[in-house]
Amino acid sequence: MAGRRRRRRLRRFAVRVPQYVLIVLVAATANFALPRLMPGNPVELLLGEDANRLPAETIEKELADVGLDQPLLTQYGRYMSGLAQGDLGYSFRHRRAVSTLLRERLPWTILLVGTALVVSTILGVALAAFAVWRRGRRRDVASIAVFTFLESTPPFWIGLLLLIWFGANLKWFPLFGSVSVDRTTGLARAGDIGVHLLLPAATLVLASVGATFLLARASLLGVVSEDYVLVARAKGLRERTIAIRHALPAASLPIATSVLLRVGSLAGGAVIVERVFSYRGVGTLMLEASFGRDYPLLQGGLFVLTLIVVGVNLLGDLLYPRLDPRVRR
Amino acid sequence: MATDRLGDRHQAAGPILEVTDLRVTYDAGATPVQALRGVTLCVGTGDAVGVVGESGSGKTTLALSTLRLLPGEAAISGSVRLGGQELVGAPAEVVRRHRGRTAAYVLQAPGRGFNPVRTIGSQIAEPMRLHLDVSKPDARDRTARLARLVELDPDLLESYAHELSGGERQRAMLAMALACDPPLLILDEPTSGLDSTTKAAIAETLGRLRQEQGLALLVISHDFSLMADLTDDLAVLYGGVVVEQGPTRTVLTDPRHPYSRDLLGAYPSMTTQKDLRGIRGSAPDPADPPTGCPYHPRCTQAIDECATWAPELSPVAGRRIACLRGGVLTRLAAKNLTKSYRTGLRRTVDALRGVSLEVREGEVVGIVGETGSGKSTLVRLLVGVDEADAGTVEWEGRTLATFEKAEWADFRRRVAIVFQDPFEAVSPLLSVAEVVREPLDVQHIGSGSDRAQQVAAALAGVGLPPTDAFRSRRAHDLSGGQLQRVAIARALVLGPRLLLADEPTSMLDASEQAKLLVMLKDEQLARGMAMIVVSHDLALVRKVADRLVVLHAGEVVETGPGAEVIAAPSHPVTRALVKAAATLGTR
Repeated sequence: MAGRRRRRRLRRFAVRVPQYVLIVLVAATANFALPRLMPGNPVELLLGEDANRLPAETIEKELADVGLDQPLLTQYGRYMSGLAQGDLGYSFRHRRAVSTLLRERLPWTILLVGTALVVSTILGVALAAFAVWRRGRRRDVASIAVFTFLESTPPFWIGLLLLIWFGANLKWFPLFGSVSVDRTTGLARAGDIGVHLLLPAATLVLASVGATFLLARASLLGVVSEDYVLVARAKGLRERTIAIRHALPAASLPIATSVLLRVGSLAGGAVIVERVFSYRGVGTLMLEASFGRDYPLLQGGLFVLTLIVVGVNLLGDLLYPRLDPRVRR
Repeated sequence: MATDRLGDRHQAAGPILEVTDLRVTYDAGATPVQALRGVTLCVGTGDAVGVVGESGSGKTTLALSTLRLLPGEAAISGSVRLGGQELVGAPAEVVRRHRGRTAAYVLQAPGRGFNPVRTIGSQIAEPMRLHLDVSKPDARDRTARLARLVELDPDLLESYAHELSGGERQRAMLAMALACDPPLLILDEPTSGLDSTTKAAIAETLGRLRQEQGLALLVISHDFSLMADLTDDLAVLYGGVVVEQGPTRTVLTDPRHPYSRDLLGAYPSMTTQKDLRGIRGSAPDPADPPTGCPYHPRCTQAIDECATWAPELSPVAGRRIACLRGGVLTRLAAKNLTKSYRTGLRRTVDALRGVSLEVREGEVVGIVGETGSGKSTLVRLLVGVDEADAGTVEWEGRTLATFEKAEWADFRRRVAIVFQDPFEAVSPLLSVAEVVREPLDVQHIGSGSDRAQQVAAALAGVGLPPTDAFRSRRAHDLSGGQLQRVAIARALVLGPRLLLADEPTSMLDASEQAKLLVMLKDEQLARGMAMIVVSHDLALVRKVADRLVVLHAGEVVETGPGAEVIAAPSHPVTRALVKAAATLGTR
């Protein structure tokens, strides 16, 4: 029986792989096209206000240097063949390989988004479970109001408020950056990273915990009225055991779906939050690249983000049958 | 046979479950809903007790109360003692320790009782790990043993609920309930939603478990046949009150509370052959329960006091019922009637030789016999037209022979007769209205306009047009079917409590006969009255009669529920009658 199940799961997976390959190809093409649809060109922005006064030959030479003098189709061909070899190209602006830049910055964003995702999920689900189990009409209404408000608040506004209160007024936390330059070793560095992480992560948590809470609350409410919760209670289980071992696993499918879907939106939120806190993540990098029309960096960064989102979806496909055996059919 | 007891059980002496004056009110919406209004129930160690009732009777509330599983908005008062421990008002932790251990709950719909994302086996093992100090491997062994005990393939323990059939899920549910070897199982509709074969198999398993494990059962259901299979004692719940309580066999074969009787009448079973009968009116609204006896608005024998007095359970005929009138009334009772006629100077004919008969409220008794069996004589005696040589006829407990004039008038008003031949019974010169009004005139009931109204109602009741044109028609202008209807309208116009119909359809063709019988049954359901149908036609009588009385040569040779008499006739005369009854095709 177990062997048959594993085979079935493998087959499911095998069916999905071409779909994912297709998605990545389409996304890569879009990543190529989108930056080039923006007005202006990288050389003008690179050379600044002087660009108008420079002779046309200089500009053409600069364009040829970065390969922008070629027809679009040739550029596309180079880009795709580069991708196939794992080469993300060379940033105009930073004069460095895109992959090196991303390798430097990505861990910070992953740290920020990952922390926010984990904390907001745990917090949201725990608060929802608490609200559902201890439900009193007035408190329920109040919690819904608070979390709906939080959910509809833009992250930059929350970020600015936190920055003003805790950073500028109370001076509890640094105002910008992701790590201080002077602390470089061991625990001191870890603590420093934590202190820098706290406000931006808290901003993202506050901006996204509402959605998790509301969804988890709705899913749990659907579950607690199910007969098996009554049966679990009739077996003599403690309320906490019922919540953790019966209600949460049964409600986990929609919660997991929302968590995975939120990776994309959190990455978007991270761009804003990184900007507000001058955090050294991919978000800041991409924002700069977009202002500078740094095509290779934009393409590369977007491509890596695409891979992450697709990877998360793949993870979901693998995870769902484990969360809910009814999906396995 | 060696019994596979799952473990030693420290059994307390005395009843395992004692519910005393239990009241539960749900206070959620605008008006509080009284689900239980004083229920007392006792399950002894190893006993099997059933609680039967329709949806809304409070039976699920009762099941949940026994483990205090009611939702937060339920206010509970009275007493629930489980294994000697009072649960009402006990701390949650104390109640929790008894759940699954002293009594286990088996849920109504087995499909939804299992968590869909966890394996069946892990859920069965869960209470063991909780209540009994067993290791994980031991729990697994025990789970497999439990599966075998409830006849569930142990391989299925690794499956999820959606992979099992309804019957398998119910067996798994039983295994889970038995996990901690509780002395009491509470089964809430254990077989609803299962097909009849699976149902029977589950019932059989339950019966065996009860024997082998010494389990006590509290079975909550609306299914009488399950009760007959599983339980020794039965309580009938209506409107949050127990209305009848006694040995299951006694209650099911001879229900005495009007509600139990009516509910059984509505239950399809192979032991009744007549048509199903609904109960008039609808179940009480628990937010606004009727005062007095909860059944009085639907009861056909209710008197004014029923609306003000809530009856207590009191013993009647081997069980206890809560009815001010002492249960289903016996309207007419004949005891040892003997009658002989002189046919010549020295010759007499024994028309009746010790005939006894009982007709209860709401019941249809069919008297079947060949010509000359004494049917007509019996009818004459029953309605007091003739007097018996010996024996008595009683109307609601009073002997006809001792009646005063006023009592006779009352009796005549309450017992109506429909004769075989309407052309003989109805004067051809009277108009339809006059025929139907005649009894009202004779009894001096109501004013002229009242009478006209009652006549119109009676005519409408029997399906005749209450128009002036029809009412002024002469009896001799009508067809046989119409005339018989007019005769029935005349019989019903006084609102009788007993209708005696002597071969009411013998003059009619088959389709008229069917329509007339359906109409009679409808009238009986709507008004609530007893009926005696006298006929030689067994095929016809069995369709309407609850009970058959077979008469032969002035004696009752056989009596019993219609289906039993027909399926297994014990007397040669009955056999002959059954054989002679109309059949289509081969028997």
